[in-house]
Amino acid sequence: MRNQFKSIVLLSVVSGLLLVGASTAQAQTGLLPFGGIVSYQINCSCSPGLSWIWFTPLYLGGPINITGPMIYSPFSTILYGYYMIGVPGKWHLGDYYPGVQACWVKVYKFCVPLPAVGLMSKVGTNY
Amino acid sequence: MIFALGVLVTPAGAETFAANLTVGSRGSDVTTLQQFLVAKGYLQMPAGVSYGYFGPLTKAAVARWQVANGISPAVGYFGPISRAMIVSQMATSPVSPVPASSNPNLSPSVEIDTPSALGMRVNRIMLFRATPFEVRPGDFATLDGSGFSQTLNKVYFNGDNPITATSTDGTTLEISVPANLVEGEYKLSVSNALGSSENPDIIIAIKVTNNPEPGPTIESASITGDAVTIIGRGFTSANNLFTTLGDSSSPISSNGTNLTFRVTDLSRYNQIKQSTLGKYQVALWIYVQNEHGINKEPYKLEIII
Repeated sequence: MRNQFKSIVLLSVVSGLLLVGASTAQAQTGLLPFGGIVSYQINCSCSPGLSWIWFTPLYLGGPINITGPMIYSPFSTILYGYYMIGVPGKWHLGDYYPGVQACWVKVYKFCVPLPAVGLMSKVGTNY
Repeated sequence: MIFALGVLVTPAGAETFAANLTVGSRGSDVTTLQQFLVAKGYLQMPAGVSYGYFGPLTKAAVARWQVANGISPAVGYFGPISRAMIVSQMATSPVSPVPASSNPNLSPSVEIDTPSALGMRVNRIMLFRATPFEVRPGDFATLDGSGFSQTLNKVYFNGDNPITATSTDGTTLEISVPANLVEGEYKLSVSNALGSSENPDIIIAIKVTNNPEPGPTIESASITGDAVTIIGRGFTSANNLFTTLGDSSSPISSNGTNLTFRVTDLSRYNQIKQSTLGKYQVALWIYVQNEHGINKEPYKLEIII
């Protein structure tokens, strides 16, 4: 019982710090934190090199379970170890530019942006 | 470093960096580093942002420069190896001159003539689409892409009939379709100082016709069970769906304003459903495409999967 109480207090403190840190980071940079497990990825056919990566679950800090895509760009996303970007089953943790649409894909005789939650600014993965 | 007649000159051997730099660093060394990265095309400073603070954009630019120069790990930390290499590069290749008249306060936002969209490769011109897809000769159209010039672009129709156009942001071009074009479909390309947007794998077209039809527009959408109903305009007897949960397997007919499909028929639905088990919220973004074009902005419908 005592250990459970300690865990709850510790979890509350860590969550609070994360929320404060996240809101401070957003105020300063416009970036938001995210985390999740990769389900699969798609190459952006019209913007070569970029990947559209689907996460289940996708953690953005809200109370609802969500699933959805983020964009990785080798030209702007800073990749940290262990470099398993877009590999199914791997955890990813980082921050992102909300709403930035950079993954363009071929449809018919034009390209359209394949919508995503945002563009990763930096990301690290597990091994 | 000497500023003479608005020209940034870095004499050989004159530049050094006193310390390692990372996010949060400030001072003249950061300014020097940023000017070098801007001059070499690795960094675009947002308008109104002054030099001298090492933030996330500078870190990303350093990482790109490190990748290009084989420095590992390329994580944007400006340490001893990067410092030595950049000093060496400055000594052998002074930072490009910047005319004072066009750059009175050395703001990089006006130094770069071909801005790229965030996330895109810099110094490459790309063309994504023309809207509307169907136009009359002489009509205006908007081209979306990246790396367009603020001073001179040439837009070609089937490699011919070039017109000139300028972009204010590097990602859009407003053009007037040549009035002398005969009806037909034309392959578009744009060229400027960066090269040409031509890509044999990606053909971007525009249709010139005396009777253009507007492309599809989605006004609303709703879901009941697994059936999604879309209300809009410009739908035809054969419409294709492109969504964040995948595409439709075959064309869907419409009476012009209503279109219905099953979300379970989308190509990636089952793949995602395997791990969500009906407990997750997802944004289903919808495009409808037919022979007259595609909705420019996708429609967002929140569903549970």
